[in-house]
Amino acid sequence: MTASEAPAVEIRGLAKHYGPVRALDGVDLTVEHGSVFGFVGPNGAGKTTTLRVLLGLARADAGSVRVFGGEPGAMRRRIGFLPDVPGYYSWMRADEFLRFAGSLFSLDSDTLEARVRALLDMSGLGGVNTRIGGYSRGMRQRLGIAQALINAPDLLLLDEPTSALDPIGRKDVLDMIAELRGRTTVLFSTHILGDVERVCDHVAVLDHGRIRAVGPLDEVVSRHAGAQRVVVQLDGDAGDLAERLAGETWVETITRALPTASNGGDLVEIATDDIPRARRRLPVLVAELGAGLVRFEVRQPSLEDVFVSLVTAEPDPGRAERRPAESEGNGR
Amino acid sequence: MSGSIGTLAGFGTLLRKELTEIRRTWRWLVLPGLLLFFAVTGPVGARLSPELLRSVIGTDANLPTPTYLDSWAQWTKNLTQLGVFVLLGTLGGSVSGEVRQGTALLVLTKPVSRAAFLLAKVVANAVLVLVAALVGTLVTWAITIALFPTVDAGPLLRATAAWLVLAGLVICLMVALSARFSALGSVGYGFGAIIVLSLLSLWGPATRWTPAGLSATVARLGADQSTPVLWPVLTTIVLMAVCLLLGVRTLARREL
Repeated sequence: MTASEAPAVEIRGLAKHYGPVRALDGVDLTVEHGSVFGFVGPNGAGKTTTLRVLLGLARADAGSVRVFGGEPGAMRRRIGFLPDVPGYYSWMRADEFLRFAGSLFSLDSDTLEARVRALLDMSGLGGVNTRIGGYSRGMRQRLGIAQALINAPDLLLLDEPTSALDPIGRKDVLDMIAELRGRTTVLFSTHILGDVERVCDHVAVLDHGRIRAVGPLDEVVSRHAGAQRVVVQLDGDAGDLAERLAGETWVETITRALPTASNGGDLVEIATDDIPRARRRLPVLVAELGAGLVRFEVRQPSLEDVFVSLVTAEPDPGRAERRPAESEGNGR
Repeated sequence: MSGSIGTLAGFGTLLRKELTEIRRTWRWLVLPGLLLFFAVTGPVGARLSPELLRSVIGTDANLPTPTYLDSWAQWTKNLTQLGVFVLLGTLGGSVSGEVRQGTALLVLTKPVSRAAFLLAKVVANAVLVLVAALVGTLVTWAITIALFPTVDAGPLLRATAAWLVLAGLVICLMVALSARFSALGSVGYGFGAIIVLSLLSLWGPATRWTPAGLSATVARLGADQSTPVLWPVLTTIVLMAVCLLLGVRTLARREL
């Protein structure tokens, strides 16, 4: 395999400890060219550590990391990076920082000026002449994304890129990431699952330093979501219905959500593999209770369902001995 | 951990950034301002010190007439004491500050060598110190000419040149320390190193052959006295190189 044919990112058996804390525990991950790859996990799962090793900022205790088939440090010209909390020289303006960043890539002056202008427009910082020290978090984040794109990278690594943004800023960033699909490989870590569902074609779920699931987004969801969900809402208290459902053999789990201003009443969510039976039995049970059925909805499983089931699942001793790649495939 | 990036990749850009930062932040005010203050007050203090002393101990006191050498002595004393401490204080966070603020992370994930990152700081601060010392020297020289009948600038220039070597050592030491320690820790270790050099200077052979003798050399040169210069300067330059190598090595191995 030549370097040009090599995956954008190839991680094998990556392990990293901080003293007694096992931050990464045999991570295997392959990110193909042109994909938009979501790297999700709870806080402390090891997402940032993985990115740091990928960038050559931290040493691995074991395993290998290749970027475009080469050592990560040697591929920095092809990588753009946004840390979770980007730090700037507060005395610079946005255009100065972008010129500084571009100069570190030895861009010629015409290319640099053209990119600076385009990225300032993209980030909405074109007309801002104040120093970066006075920027809001959102402005700093947008500038961070702009500087990560100054070298027109083949691989863009984003650590929690939308966490500091308001809904409009988040939409702008996600739209920008979506536009890069096919041209630039994007690997971004996040715990905002909606962002992943919106723009990613591939996803990896990391928890306690281990990959719990990896692959095409729809495949991961269908493989790990488990039972489908039925959401039922009554015009009164759903406690009796929940009690009756507990005795039904087709019901796997029951979750109640108490009334809020947004859901408008008492909700019951039922996990089941037998949707036809749920359609037949639920109206009967509601009628027997003398309640009114306000809502009956079969909800498709989401990445959130997968995430919750994988991250909250008790560790399986047998699974703990297996490498993620063997249990989940290689992520392509 | 820097991968296959050129040994000094990015040095020019980083040096320009450092010099611009000095120019556009408080840093250009501190050392040059202080040296300018020394340059003005030193000759005036030397010229007026007999009158000041007589006003305290009485007009009958038999005090020697001050000469331009007293002006040079004020200048060299200020440089070797306060000048060095200001360098310690201002350079303690030169690398660690960037690591703490996250700017190092953005810079060092680009095709830049960590050696260039560190050396740019050393060179930029050396330029600042050189310019400040030159301006201060010219000012103190000019004021001394105005206040004293005869002036020989030779001792002043030789003493300032020797002090620049000492300042170079302090710069290299502090930048290297800040590649490993926090700003406070670097200042603490730097201060400790200066104390060790001062204690060593009490031992004759160390004064003649090692950097420990450089402070005394500056003072003696300013007083137009003969003093061993070659070995204290040479060993100081060697120690500067050692500090730089250790700093580069420390930063190269540091996880960010």
